[in-house]
Amino acid sequence: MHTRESILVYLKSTMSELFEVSQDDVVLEARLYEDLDIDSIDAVDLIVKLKELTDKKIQPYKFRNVRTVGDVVEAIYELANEQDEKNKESAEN
Amino acid sequence: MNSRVDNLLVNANYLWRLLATGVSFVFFGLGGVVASVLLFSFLYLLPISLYKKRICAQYLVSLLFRSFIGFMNLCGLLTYEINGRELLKEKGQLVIANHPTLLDVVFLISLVPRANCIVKEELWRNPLVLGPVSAVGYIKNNSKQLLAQCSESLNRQDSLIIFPAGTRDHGERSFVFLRGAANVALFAGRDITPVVIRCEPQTLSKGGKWYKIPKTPPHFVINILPDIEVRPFLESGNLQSKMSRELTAYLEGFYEKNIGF
Repeated sequence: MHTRESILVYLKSTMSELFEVSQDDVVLEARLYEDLDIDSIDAVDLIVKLKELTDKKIQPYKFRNVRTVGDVVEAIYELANEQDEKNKESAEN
Repeated sequence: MNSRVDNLLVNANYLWRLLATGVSFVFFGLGGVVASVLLFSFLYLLPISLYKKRICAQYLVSLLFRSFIGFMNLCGLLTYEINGRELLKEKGQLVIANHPTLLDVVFLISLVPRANCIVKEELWRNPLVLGPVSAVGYIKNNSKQLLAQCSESLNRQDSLIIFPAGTRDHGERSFVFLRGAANVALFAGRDITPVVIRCEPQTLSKGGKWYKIPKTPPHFVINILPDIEVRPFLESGNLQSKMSRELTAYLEGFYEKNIGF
């Protein structure tokens, strides 16, 4: 189970490792491009890494409207919970 | 007495250059329009393939820019020396340069007959340059397929000129490069031909006014240096985002060293 807080912690460490940004700068309101210098190529790498967290195929289009770290957290949170619900369903069946 | 005459001559030279600089700017603008009407529209009508039209347009722009530099040189507005010209003779080269002045791209295109550039989208709406810009088919900077287009252009044997500093150096004594040039090199798997441009005294830098000309005419030194290999960066096995940062940092260091900061 992923909470928003745990996702943010994960993002802090992943983004600082991948993109040479300080963990302190990875806050919910930070804008990816303007504040963190993360471009579309970086976004592809980030999505690759996020697959490892969610263990799930990530549709890049879900990230199309992502502008801030908060948006990323929200997108992953939704994905992870979708997955959990599906798991629950399959467990019930 | 002598110093007064000297002073007079210096002032006369200054005024002459101020006037000639203005004339050059007008020439450059008019040149674009006249060339659009006479040359590029004629080219457009020729019964040859789009591919050939583009190549003709590239050669034409290069020739026009060479004439423009020659004109400015003849008017005493600038002097220049170019070292390592033979290193720009290949086709399909990825050329990068620092960007101290407005004339850098004019110099570079004059040296590279088949040049392609990444250009601000606004230029397609600027009647002064619309002719040549659309005839050559430069790459728009806001294109969604920027990397693929750059790569295609190199595969078509265009030489692609990129200024990694963006729209001109910031004048501070260090370089901050954007990652676009590194991304193109990594994506297309091309080595980088670095060009180091020096201009003393400084002129036509970012934010400078055209009429603020230096006391003596600027001297340009353009050094074309041996290629920077991208293979070691590609073979690092890192993700593209990491490779791109490493190559960009390397390029920044390379320019800092070669400019002698």
